[in-house]
Amino acid sequence: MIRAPSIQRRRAASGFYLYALALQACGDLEEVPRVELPVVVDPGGIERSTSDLGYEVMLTGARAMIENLAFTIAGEAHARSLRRHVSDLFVSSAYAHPGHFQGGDVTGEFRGRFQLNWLNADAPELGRATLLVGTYASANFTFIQATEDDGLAAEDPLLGHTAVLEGVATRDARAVVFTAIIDSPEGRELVGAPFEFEVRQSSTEQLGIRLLTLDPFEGDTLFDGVDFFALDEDADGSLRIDAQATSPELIDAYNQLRRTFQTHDHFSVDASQRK
Amino acid sequence: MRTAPFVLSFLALGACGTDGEGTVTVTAYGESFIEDGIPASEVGDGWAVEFSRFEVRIEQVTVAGIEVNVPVTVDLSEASAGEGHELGSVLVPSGDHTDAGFTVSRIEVDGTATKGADTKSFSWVFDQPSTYTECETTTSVRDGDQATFQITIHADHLLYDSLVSDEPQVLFRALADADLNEDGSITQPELAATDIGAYDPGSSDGVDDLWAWLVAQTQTLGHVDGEAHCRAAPAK
Repeated sequence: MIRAPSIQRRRAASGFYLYALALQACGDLEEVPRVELPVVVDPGGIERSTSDLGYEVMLTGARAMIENLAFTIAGEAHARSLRRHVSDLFVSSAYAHPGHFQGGDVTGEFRGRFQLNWLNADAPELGRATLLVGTYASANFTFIQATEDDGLAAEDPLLGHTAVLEGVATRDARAVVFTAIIDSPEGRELVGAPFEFEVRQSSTEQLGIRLLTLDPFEGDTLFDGVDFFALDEDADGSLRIDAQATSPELIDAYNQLRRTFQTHDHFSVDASQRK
Repeated sequence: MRTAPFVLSFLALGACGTDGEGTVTVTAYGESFIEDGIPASEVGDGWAVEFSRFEVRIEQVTVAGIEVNVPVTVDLSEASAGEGHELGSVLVPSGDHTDAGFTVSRIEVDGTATKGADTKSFSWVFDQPSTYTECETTTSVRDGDQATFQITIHADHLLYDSLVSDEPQVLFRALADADLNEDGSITQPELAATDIGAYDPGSSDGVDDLWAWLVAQTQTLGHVDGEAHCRAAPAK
């Protein structure tokens, strides 16, 4: 009953090069047009948003660790666009067996480990992605857990974890300051973050990785279902949500938040002209 | 109606450029996990699961481009001496055939799970059809010989804690805890009222309760020839 190696994983690792080779083989042995575009952390998706429970949530800190972005020209993707009817949105091919052809053709990649710090105004360019010319639909990446080799200080709360989200939740003139620490499973891939962009040989745009506190397609927020006041049992206005929680309510809140964070609803890659 | 297989056979023969034909026998097998049960040693939280019925409706089996007539349902919990249950056979051109496929249109599961003094029963019906296409297997047929194409159903997927992990845990406790009225029976309404908790549904949202979770997992049960994967998708 041992699961066969993931087809998708193998594809992600080698698909880019295979695709490039295939294109060359089918053509006139001409070099496949490709471009290198800078990749940055884009804070544009972080906005003050009101959750389904009426909390106005504003993030003051948002960091995550990921590795190996892959850009695809088709595939499972988000299977949605603003023009599509909502009934089309429910589970495209997403229920396929893990590793069963879920990805599209990988024709671009940006490999390495990266700390995404969305609220650091001085965040440097992460590097340069290589993409074949084409019309892109989605991006994939893998959540990882930060180590000291990633350049984090020993006391950094992100160390050993996947993401740290800090902020303030306000409702009825009362506020709770919260810190949420998320641990994704080892090797957990996020598949299908929207990346709708036509890459041409002349392209010079930068690719910005966004964390979306508000899902632009469905209107859900990252913190839907989290009842901040109820979780702040001692009413001291401070709350920590993490995997070490012991109360059933906090465990439920952590699971809910992690689940939401790990969906492709709350990430995108957006191309924009460099400033 | 009978001309279609002939035409398909002719086309397949032409495509392969081979001579002769042989028989492909289609079987369905639930492996020991369905016939004998999933032992506690295979379940991360120590529950043992037995199936008294694991009835699967399999349709639209296609091998070598030819649709095979198969019975409506087969109970995979019945012992098959490791051979699986024969569903039917078809004469195909000799050669190596790929791109087989099938549909699982309904699954009915009865059974019990036990851990120590705790016993939970379940009786679930999943009627959301799933198609399995482009199966990653090659059925080699030699002239005058017989080959087997096995549809393999992996029951342990029902107990997976992830829809996306390459190495999910096999667990039952969350399902057992969904027996909200503690009458010993885990029902669909109880599962639908229970959040998936720490289970990982993957990058798509929409699977938040344990009934939806099981429905999603049923759409991953189908394999071929043991461990070979297919492209799985909800049927239109």
